[in-house]
Amino acid sequence: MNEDALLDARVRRGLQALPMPDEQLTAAALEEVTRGRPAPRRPAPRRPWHLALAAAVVVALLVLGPQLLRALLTDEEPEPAPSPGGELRGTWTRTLDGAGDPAWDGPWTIGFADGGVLTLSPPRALVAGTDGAAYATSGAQVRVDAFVNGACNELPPGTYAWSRSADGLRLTAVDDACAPRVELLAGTWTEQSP
Amino acid sequence: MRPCAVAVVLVVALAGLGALAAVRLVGQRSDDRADRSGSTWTPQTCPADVEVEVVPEHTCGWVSAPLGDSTQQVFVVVVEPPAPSDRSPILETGTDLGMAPDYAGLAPIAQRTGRRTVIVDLPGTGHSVPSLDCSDAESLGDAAAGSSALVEAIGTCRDRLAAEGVDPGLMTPQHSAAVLLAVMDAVGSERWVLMGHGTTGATAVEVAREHPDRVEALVLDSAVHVHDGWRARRSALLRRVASACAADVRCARRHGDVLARWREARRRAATRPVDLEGVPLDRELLDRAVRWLVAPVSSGPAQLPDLLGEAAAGRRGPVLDRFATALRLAPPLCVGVLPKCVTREQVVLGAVLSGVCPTAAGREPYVAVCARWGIGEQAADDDAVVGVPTLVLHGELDPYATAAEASAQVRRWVSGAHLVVARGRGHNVLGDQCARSVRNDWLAGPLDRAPLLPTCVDEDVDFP
Repeated sequence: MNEDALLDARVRRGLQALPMPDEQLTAAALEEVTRGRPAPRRPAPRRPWHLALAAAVVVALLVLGPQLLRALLTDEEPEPAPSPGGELRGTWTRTLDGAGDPAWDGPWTIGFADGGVLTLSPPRALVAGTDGAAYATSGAQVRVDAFVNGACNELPPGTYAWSRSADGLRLTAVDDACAPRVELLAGTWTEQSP
Repeated sequence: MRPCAVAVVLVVALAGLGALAAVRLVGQRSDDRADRSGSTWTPQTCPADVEVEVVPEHTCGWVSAPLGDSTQQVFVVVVEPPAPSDRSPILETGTDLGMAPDYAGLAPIAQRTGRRTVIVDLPGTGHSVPSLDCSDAESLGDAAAGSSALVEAIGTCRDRLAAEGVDPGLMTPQHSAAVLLAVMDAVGSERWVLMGHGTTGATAVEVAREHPDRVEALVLDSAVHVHDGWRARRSALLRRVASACAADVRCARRHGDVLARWREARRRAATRPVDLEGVPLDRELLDRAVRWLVAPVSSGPAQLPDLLGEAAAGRRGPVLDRFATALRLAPPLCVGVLPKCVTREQVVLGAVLSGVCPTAAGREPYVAVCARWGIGEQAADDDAVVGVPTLVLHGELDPYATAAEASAQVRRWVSGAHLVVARGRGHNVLGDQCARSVRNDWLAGPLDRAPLLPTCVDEDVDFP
């Protein structure tokens, strides 16, 4: 056992004998256990919270610094988070039959795209205010504002439960006061081939 | 350097960086524009009605704007386009006079134009504070129009507001322009597209007049409201709808001669008026029913033959039932008086008066209420806006201004504006996909060119 190892063993034993190893007691114990021989040159004792705080700040700067600097130095808006949607994303088709407004009958295509964009292609010749629609998912539910400037004027967006199966995409109305939108959306949609 | 000093320096530096970045991320800049108007932006959790109505990504906040010796808290909703854009954002002045914005109907503008869209609750309306809500007067209902009870309730509301330090005279369209400028400063963009729906467009015009350098473009939809000349407009409207109906096989077969139906309805209104839940459909109310029905995009001129058919036959049908419901729910001075009149919850009577009295205090039905509200007619600013590309959309059959009246007013407002008249449409033509495509295309291209007009702009009334 070398000199340093012997010193460590003495320090450890001495500290274990103390009931409350606070700062003053530890200093006194160190002095006691090392008495009789010159203390080796060691770095001055550091306060652990300083080290932890400094380390945390450095880590935070390393992690967040580039983003903060980008926000400060550029006019770019941060990239939008990809809208959740998972398996809902895609293009789906369905043929509506027996709608309250016969002009709505026929083949429809619906697209759940990136950025929360909901595209709707109505049957030929129908102008139903399909532009500018959006969707937002929350778990197994999706909110849609389609037709807010058309058939669903002055009505709030609708909420639908969605699920995928071998048959396609199934939408079930949870809360929607707009009857034409329910007629169109609620049902099973077939995935459009790419 | 001691470790603790290093840590303190690092913490201070990090806090400073974080604060500056946070300011940028919410769109606020501490530059000279913000200093100029003294406005500030405070983000807040969106209230429940916004969360229910708005689907695209959005945030909410308050802008503190000067109001005389005090400040007002102007509520705004910021709707993001699907992809980040460095194009000038759109400042949307709302739905129509005295109304809280239809957030659901306005939010899609961001996607349609690819621009960040800021929807403002104009002073006195919606969530903005102070409110010009006069609930006692509003609850009197439609029948109170012209009564001393309404004038008294308006006066009581005015006195209450004055006691609270609120001056409705500082919430006119002219003064509201300062509020829009404060929002433009606080949200942090140098140049803006100002978009005014309905009669709130006058406020956008004021901003463009005072600060043309801040306005990239002006888009006005049905912004002209003429308070007199209804009889001439009515005649033109009826002739035009009768002509369109005669040219439509289904309409002609179902309704016959629309002008004959109108004459029968007028005759019945004078002799044996239809009862609308205790309210007789007399001639004055028939006129209001026509305006109430024809203006909104949700009904429009296409339903006018149905209304006249029911009124002529003396039989309540779906249209007169809806009209009776509107009379029951709406505040006074709303149904057939305002271009858009929905429910008591959405129309703020005090804000209507602050908006309309500067131009109509000398005309009925506003004379007594405007006098009690303390706002008289004010001289219009004769200086036209110069150097701001402007697109004005107007419905040919808008019962509140003919195309000729709109054209004349627009020429007084803006030099070189492009006026697009949507054939066969009523008030608020941007509620129609065709007019929206004109706007979207114009905003996407060089703004010094005339708008491209698709064939749908010339499509006539589409009868059901």
